[in-house]
Amino acid sequence: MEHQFYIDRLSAYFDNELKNEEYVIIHEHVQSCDECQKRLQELEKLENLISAKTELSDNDYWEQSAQKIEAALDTAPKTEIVKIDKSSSSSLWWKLTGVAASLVLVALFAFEQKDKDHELLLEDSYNYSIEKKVEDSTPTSVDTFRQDVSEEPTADYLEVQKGDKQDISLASKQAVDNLVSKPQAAPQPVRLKKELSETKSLQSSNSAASPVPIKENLRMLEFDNGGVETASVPAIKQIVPDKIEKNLDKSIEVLSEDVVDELKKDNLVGEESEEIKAKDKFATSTSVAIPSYETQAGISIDTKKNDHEIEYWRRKTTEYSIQLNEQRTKKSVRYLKSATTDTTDKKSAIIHADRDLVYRQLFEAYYNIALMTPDSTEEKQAVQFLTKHAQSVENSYNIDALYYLELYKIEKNRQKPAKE
Amino acid sequence: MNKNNTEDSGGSQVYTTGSKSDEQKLIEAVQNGNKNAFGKLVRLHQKRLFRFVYGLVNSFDITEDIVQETFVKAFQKIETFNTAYAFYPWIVTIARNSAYNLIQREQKKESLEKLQEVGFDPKSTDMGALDKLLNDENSKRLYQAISALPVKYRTVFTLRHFEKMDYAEIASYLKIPPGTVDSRLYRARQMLLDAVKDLL
Repeated sequence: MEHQFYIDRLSAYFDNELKNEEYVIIHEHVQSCDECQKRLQELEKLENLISAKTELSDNDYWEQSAQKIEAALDTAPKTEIVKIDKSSSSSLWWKLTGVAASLVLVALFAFEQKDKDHELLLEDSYNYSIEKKVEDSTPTSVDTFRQDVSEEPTADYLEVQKGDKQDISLASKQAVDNLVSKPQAAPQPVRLKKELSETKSLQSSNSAASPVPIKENLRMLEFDNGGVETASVPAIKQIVPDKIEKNLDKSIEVLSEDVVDELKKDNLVGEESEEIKAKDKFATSTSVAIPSYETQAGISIDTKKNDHEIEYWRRKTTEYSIQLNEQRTKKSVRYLKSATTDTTDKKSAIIHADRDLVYRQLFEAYYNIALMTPDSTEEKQAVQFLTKHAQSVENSYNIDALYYLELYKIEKNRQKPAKE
Repeated sequence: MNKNNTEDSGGSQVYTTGSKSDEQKLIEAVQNGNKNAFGKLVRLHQKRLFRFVYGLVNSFDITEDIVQETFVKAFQKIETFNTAYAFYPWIVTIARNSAYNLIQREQKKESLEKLQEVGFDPKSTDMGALDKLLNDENSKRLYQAISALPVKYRTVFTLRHFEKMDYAEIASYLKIPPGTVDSRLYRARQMLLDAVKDLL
């Protein structure tokens, strides 16, 4: 391997951040390489210098600064914490209430649109006759529906806003329930009834459908309320309200998790320390998702975990490939911009360094995929990818490809005796 | 070989000892309405927080504002703080968010995530009033060299050297791959070595 390969990893070696295999490779090299030892010594001296020389001195500034802050505190009133529910933070429920309110607004907007569409139709004599038929067959007008939606949930929402602390969760849920249940009460054109009954079986089979993301729910909701071409898609129209009703609670849960995550980031949730701790661990996905040395070597691989890891690496390959494409585009743009300046070489060097970095991560992902999917086409493809780039001598990233290819072979050989 | 100092770790540290630390007592005093106790917390952490924020934003004035704003926010929300956790990581999170919000407002950056990844550079290596807070010429030289680092390298360097975060923590904090942390830190160190070689 080229010497630059070792030099590039010295910094991580110094920080004890290399994976086991890499650590062994670099460690063995360092023992016998004077230049690398010298570089390591330099890193150590730099570390010592930083520790010794970056402390800020003790002078009047800090006392004055602290006094300024204390003065600012006098004008800054402490927030009054109102505990609504012991199991959740207040801001979480305010956000949920906001979600309920926004859903109401979406519904209102959708019906406003439908009303407008209806008026436009009335102006057109041809369409008027068709619309009239539909309206005649449905005694409850759209206006009634709009009134229901606009009054009830908004009233609930206002109560919540006024600070009714009794049960905001219930209030917001009612608002959502109202919103959800209303479209079911909305009249269907008579001529669709037969088609609707035919789709009932489909509806019941869909009732146990997997949770739909909130965006999907909103999209469906909008379509359901505001969709003009009701006659052309009766089946979907009837299914949608039920789906929303069943999945909205799920969506709220999903949202809650998001909000909790957000709060957790701010470290502002006080009472759920254990839960947050657990989530914190999960949140550092980089350390969790990257397979350990043991799992890579095929020792005690949990199938589910393995699937999860493979999926992670697959996602990474897509992600890095996209990054590389983006970089190519940026590169040509930057090249054109910098063509007239003297710093072209420098910029070009930076661009190449960025590209090589993404390639390195891509190789790592393919290396892991190859190891985790033995005897599959995916493994072959991953190895082919690594081989192809390892042979691409004109590019500087071929060293990394070669490295991961070699590493793959070593691991593969290590796994063979274990299997036999 | 450098070992991580867990005490300085930027993560959500939990006290393991049964007895309450001085810091815990101070926080509980503040939660019970003692403002003077908060002053002590400010004096305890402001220098370290200042250095962290300066490493992110590279501007003395902006750092001063953010540090002050951070402590005020922390005071306002102290009721929500769980004393089972360390105080410093909490205020660092507030400071980081304040910094990014302020920068986002001023720079009109596309998104917070983008900002976290690329960092903020006020395009100046003039340390201004920071000079007065440094002990000697060597410190000034070192800070100048750090300030002159390209922003994405400086941010990773700050988190590693001032906050003692490990690579996975930095990656998670900046939302970049761990491999990127590695290479950025490597480059930051190379640049610093070039700049202050005579001080080693």
